[in-house]
Amino acid sequence: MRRRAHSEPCSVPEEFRRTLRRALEDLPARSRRRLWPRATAAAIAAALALFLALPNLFPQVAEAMERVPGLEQLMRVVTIREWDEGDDAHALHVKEPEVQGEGGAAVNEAVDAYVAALLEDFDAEEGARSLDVSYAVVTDTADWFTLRIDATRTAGGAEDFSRFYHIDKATGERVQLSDLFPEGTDYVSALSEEVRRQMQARLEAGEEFFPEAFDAIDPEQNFYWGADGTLYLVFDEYSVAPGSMGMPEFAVSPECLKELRGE
Amino acid sequence: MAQMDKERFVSRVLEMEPALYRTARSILRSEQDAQDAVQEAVTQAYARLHTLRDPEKFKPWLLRIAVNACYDVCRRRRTTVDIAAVEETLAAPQSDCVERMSLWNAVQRLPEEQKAVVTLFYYEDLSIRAISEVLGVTQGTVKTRLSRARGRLRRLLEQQGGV
Repeated sequence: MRRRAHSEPCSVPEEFRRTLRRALEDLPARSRRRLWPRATAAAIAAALALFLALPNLFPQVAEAMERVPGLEQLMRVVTIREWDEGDDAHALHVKEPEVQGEGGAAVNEAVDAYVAALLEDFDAEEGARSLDVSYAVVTDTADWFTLRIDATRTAGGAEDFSRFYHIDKATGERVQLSDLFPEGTDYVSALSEEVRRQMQARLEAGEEFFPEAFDAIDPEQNFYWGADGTLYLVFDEYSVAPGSMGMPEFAVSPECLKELRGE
Repeated sequence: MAQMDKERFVSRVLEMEPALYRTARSILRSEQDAQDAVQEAVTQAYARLHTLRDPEKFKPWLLRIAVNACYDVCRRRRTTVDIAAVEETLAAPQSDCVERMSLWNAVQRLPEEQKAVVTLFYYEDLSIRAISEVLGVTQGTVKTRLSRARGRLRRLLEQQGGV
């Protein structure tokens, strides 16, 4: 059958050829990443409502959607494990998600490892303590998916921290910060400098930070995209600022981002 | 690894023109939709060229993006009746490509879920594993769809006296 498939001629329609050539001619001289999906905030809200609420609330809707050719590509997030443990000395609540859809496996593997590490730390600690792990879908548009894992650890004081997991739906692959920039780009130094600059400006404006505690961003620093396409770098509570500042975020200026992307 | 430049990208895409066309048409019934999807796929692929770590995998990588672009078109189209697609389907026996290609004609009559698998396996020579990655389904699903498609194709070709 394969021999026959190759031996049968097939002429690509002229209109298709013209369209393809036009698309290729229109490409810019240099590849530029469209880092943020084109969807507006309203579209994000609509996408979240349709693609998350319905299939997750009504299994029959999810099954029906998955039977439609192509719709198996939709992200579906379900709770695969949720449990509570507790006594006088400790309390544990874990709600762990599973992402179903293209690219979900890589995210699930990373989330599994992260939750396992949290539990290991929790078990290793002594004294009164608690750990609460949950999740939220931050973005689910036609182009992009972001899942956030939230954790609150209590041992004397309370500490909040989150991890973000992204999927570029066009490629179906998990994306980390390093994937946003061309190979060889020193984005760590550039973004660290941007964070330092903003930290100093915010210190002068009366906010509190620990500039001496900040050396450089992690190469795979937590990030997410704002609804307007701004890239936000996120730090754990207490890591670069007092707990009263929560989890500090730094918006990367479009100019800085453009420069790193070589635009 | 140096990123592919525009000239090389264009050249690789043009080499894959028949593959892109067949793959898009295996998912979408309308010529116009296939054009739109491939146009969008090429633009997306170029914008995401830095994510292609292994240039040897350019073909499955681009096909995967094309398949996803086709599915996007499916999603946009599913609530509307596309008159152009209906007209093209009705006119299919007269189309230049189908008239000369009885196997391709038979492939077009397969259920939606089997068309892309058959196209990628027989026409584009992708492995079961590569197809599973391109379509985002398990290798078992690919094998099942392929097996069912083979039986159906044989019957269709026998009926047409094309075997």
